[in-house]
Amino acid sequence: MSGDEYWDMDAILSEQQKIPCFFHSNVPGYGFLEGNHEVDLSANVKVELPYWLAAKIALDDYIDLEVPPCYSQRIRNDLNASPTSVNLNRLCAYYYRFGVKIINLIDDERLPQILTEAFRARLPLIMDYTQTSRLRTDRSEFIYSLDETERELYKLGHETVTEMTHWDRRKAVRIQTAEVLSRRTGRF
Amino acid sequence: MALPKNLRNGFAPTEVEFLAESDMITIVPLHKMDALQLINGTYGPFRPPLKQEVPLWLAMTLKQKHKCQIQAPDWMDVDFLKTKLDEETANPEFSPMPFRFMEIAHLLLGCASDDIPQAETVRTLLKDLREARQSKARKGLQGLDPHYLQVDNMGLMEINEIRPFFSKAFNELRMLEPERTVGDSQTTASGMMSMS
Repeated sequence: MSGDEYWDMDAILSEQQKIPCFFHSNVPGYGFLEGNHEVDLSANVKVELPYWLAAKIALDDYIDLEVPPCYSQRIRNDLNASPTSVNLNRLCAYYYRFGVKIINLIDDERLPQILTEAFRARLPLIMDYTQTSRLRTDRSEFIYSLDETERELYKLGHETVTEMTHWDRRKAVRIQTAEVLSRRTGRF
Repeated sequence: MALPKNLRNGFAPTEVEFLAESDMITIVPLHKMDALQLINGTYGPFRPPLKQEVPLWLAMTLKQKHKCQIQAPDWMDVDFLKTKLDEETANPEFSPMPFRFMEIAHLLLGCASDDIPQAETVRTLLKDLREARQSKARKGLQGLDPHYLQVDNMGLMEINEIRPFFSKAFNELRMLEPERTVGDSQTTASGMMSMS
């Protein structure tokens, strides 16, 4: 975790994602990681550890890492073929942020490029959605497939567009009836 | 961080509009009046047929009290805007417009539309122009590159409108780049500068 991410809730959540890995040697007392009832964890058995743990012990050379399934070859092919129709939110809620961490942890030459391309291809569509729809009323498939980073972008873009339309219609300077007065109670 | 959420991303449109109110504009006073001594300068004296340069906010106040007529800026003219619109649709890049054209047009069309010749046509032309420019900004997004972004000839309001979205997208894109050696970091730093 880099220094400026210390208080960042999204960074913390993105580090919770699991990475498949293999221990080099037997680990006494950690059999529960494997999900069975043995006491010890034997070497070269695939276990899933959260990133924050795996990154540390991988650097000390206790485990071997594998690329997580959400960045597998199949997903990469999908992203290449049609970036806008992949449901990133279902694959991993922090797809890009976790991806960045994976890039810095595992040597993979093509992953950065694939992520960048996908992000770039999805941007214009996100911007289009900010221009047209109201927040939370949109039931589009695409909006649900955004990962957290993109969602944040969508929200930001949407706020600016709303403010601009308000300004355009002079809502900010126009005096309006207070809600209390406009509501009819029927008594008076 | 005590600011309300909608003000954290940059300026609100109303703030940008406020900035534009200090631009100078020509008025024709309708009443004889002595010079106005204000903190940022002295304006006047106003002698009716003679034109005067005053800040936009003062012009608007006087206009609302029916004490002057505002002379529309040169660019708020139907022919000029028509050629601009043609230019805008023909060329892929933004055509030069006054830096605060959106704010000024918005203010003037709001309070002094009777002083602007063919105000309704001007309004529609400006709207078309804005839409053409908006679609260009969107196209620019496709070519977004993590190092720099050129925003020639964009007005303050337009920049302000796309700033939160673009700068966030920009930063995310930069994060996706693999970490580089120290020698390369200068290009990324200057890329950030051009956006902030």
